[in-house]
Amino acid sequence: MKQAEHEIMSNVERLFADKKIDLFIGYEKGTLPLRTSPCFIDDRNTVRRLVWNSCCSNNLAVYLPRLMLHRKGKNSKRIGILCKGCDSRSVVELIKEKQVDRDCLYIIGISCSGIIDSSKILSELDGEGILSYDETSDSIVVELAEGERSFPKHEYLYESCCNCAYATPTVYDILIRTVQFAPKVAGPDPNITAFAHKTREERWRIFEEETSKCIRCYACRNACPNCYCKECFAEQTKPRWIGVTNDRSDLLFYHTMRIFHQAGRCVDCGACVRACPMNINLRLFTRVLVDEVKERFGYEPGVSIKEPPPLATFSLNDKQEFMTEPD
Amino acid sequence: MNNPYIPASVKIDDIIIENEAGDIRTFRLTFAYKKDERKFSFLPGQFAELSVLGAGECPIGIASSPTEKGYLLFTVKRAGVVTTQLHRAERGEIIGLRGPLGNTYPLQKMEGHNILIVGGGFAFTTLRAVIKYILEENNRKRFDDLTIIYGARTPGELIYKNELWEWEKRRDMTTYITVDRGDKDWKRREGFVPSVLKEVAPRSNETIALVCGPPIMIKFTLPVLDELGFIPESIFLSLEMRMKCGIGKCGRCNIGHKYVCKDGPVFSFRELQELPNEY
Amino acid sequence: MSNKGKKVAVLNRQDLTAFFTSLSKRFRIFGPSRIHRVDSLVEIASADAINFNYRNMKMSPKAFFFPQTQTLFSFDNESKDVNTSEPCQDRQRILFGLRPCDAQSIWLLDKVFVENTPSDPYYMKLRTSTRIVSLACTHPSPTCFCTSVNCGPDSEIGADVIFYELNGCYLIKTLTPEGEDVVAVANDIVKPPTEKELSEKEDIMRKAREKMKRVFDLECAQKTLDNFDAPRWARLYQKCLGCGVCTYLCPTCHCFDITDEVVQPRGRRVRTWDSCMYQLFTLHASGHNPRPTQKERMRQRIMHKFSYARKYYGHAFCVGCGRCITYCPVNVDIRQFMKKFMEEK
Repeated sequence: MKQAEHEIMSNVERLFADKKIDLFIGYEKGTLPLRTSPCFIDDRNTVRRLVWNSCCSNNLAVYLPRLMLHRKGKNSKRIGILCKGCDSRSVVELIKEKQVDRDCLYIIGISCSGIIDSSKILSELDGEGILSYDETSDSIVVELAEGERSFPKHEYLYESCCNCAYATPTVYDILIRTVQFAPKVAGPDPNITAFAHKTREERWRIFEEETSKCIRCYACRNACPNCYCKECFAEQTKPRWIGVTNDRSDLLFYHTMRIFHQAGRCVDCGACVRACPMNINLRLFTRVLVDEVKERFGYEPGVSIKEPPPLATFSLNDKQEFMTEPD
Repeated sequence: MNNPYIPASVKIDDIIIENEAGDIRTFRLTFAYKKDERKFSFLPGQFAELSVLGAGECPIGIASSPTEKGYLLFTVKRAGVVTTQLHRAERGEIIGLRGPLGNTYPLQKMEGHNILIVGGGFAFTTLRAVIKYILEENNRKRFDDLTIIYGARTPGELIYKNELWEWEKRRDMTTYITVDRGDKDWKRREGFVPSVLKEVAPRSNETIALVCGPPIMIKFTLPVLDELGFIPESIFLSLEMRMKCGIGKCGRCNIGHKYVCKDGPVFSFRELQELPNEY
Repeated sequence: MSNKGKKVAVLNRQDLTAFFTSLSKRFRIFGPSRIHRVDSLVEIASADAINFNYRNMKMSPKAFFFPQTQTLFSFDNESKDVNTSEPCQDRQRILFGLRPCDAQSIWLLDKVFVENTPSDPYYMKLRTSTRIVSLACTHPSPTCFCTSVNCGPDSEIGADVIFYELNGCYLIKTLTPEGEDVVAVANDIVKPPTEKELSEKEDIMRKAREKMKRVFDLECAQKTLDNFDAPRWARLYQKCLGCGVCTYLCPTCHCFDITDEVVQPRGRRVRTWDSCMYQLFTLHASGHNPRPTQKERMRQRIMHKFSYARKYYGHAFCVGCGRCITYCPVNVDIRQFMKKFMEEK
């Protein structure tokens, strides 16, 4: 971990020294145990703030559309960014959707073996104050008033990290390799598979139940790098597509639309789930669409910059059984 | 308990299209119920939330003076969802009205003073209200000289045209009407409002200035007033903000610690100097 | 803390159930409960449903007075007749177990919806039919900072009655005439406190206050907080996503939107929570937006809470509950901001 941190810092210092970037987005120490926070560095003297550890959860790609919007053209700023596997796939999609100019970016890719879900650890501690914490290659060690406790990393990962196939970023200018602490079991997420195999009625019931917790705060939307619309459909008044209340129909409509807007685009980084204050299992639904697009069009978002988005292209091989053989 | 969110029903008695482009209309409204009319007591400067059920509400300055009995005038520019619906309304239709809201022009302070009114474009509405108020027979002697400088981009954009020509003829006030750019029929002066103000150079001592117009006009008018010797305490502006509740609760229309719907929309320039420049 | 003029009594732990049973004849009771690992204020049938082992509820109590969605009135979309009859509030309610910070937040919301005329009738109806029974804090969370904003683990502001959890019993202090109403129900089962019990309470609260030292000095930070053009604002906003979670979970944030909805042939005008952190919050129909970027919006939020509210209502609109810190997806921490403000000359 420490070595990766040093590598990041020295790379960023060099980038500033060589005047290759105007701004670097990375992580710094958070103010809460087991948390880090996005960090904006515009001066080589503050590079020492950067950290790298198993708590670097945020998808930093979310900041790119708003930075790029302000800085188009000859005088655009060049932005350096630290990307894990999932973050880099978001960047690929943003490049394809013309929200980010590849030439303005310097991507420091970093291989990642999964990010710790601090809320899982905190809820086990049931409010017991963490005095300090550290991590070894395979555990998180917290110091409490009554002594130390160790949590094996692979048991406390975010769900989106558990079966992730992209430990290594898919796009980068330079790659920092880190030690993988456990063999990755890349593959389908069993929770998602189980959900997809339920009956239609059961799936709808679960969808209604989960979305009923929603308070329409839009944290899921704002945390998602894909949601960069200047005016979101949920807030448009001309025409008004959807009400602004938390009535059942509004909640179902909002989430249905948001999920469908993610089809073929969502990289399953988990930012929406982490941001949601009501613990709605949002990726259960978006992931189903991701898997369906993969199955139907053989396409996975964020893997290749050259591969065109499936919903923006037509191929003669596209499956059409929903038209030719409807249920 | 009185519910400040429920609109009173008002009937559209008449609709006057004010400008050539047709997107500014004056609505003459009368209350459907006498009890609402009796309760509605206001002074120039205040506004009301006009309600189109199904579309929403919009805050519009009251363009008529309380001295004009039996009706209320609102001049509305078509801009968003609600104003578009309002512009589709016809004579005889019922809409809603919540008010009066906000504060008034500083009439007490204005008494015994000369009044300078500087208006631009469509923002002249509440200034009309205060002019009519001052000109009313019983009120006129409370105020000294009345000078009006009003301009619009083109002659077609001037509002309340018939009244403007009448005011020009009156002896108890001086009226300067200008346009940025005239047309072939335009016989009067041409020039931006701030330039005309500079040219006319009304005296500043014992004078209160009321200014209302688009941000660009205000930006250039204030330095001229300063040059002429007006102090910030004697210049008053009426501001616009996006509003919803109109009663200082929804938190939307604040400038610094003041709410435009409650502590405004009329502010002295002195007050504005102490507030953040966020409007 | 002086008990002068305020009735103090002691209720044995085992009598709590009987107390609630008597109360439930007149009041609907809402108490803290843990469901799916989340502490919430829910309607309870008896004292046994209460989970006393909580720091604070996830959601603030503001939804009890200022719900996320509230119908202001409905109308007939053809005739445009307005139906103003409001649904009846059946029985009176007791919110039991609010932490003193949350109780104080209701006092602050009262300034907006009640004292700032015209009063809001929807809020008033819910407010006047509710009694607040708070439970003093003995184990603050790492994100709590009540003592830095003129609140504390045993603040009495906003509550009608305050409970202190002692060993085997509760010390009950009645704070308002409405609170007397509540405690009167238990007149047969409470008894006056002994000296030992009073000093146990003082001891517990002294320990609690020690755990809750001030993390920043609001007075010291005020100069920068009041400075709209402070260069600080240009750096603080960068990581903010504008997601609105802080405002929705904050007990004193009260911004709302009013919209009309039509489902033919009827319609309604609704009030819903809104947030100054959203891009479209101050967008004019003309397209002009006085707060075009996250910098202006972040500045507005902080200045509104700590500067404008002080000028307008006489008190900062923050009770130090720490929800904004706990739930911010990018770890924006208001305590960190305040410390930076204190450093500015």
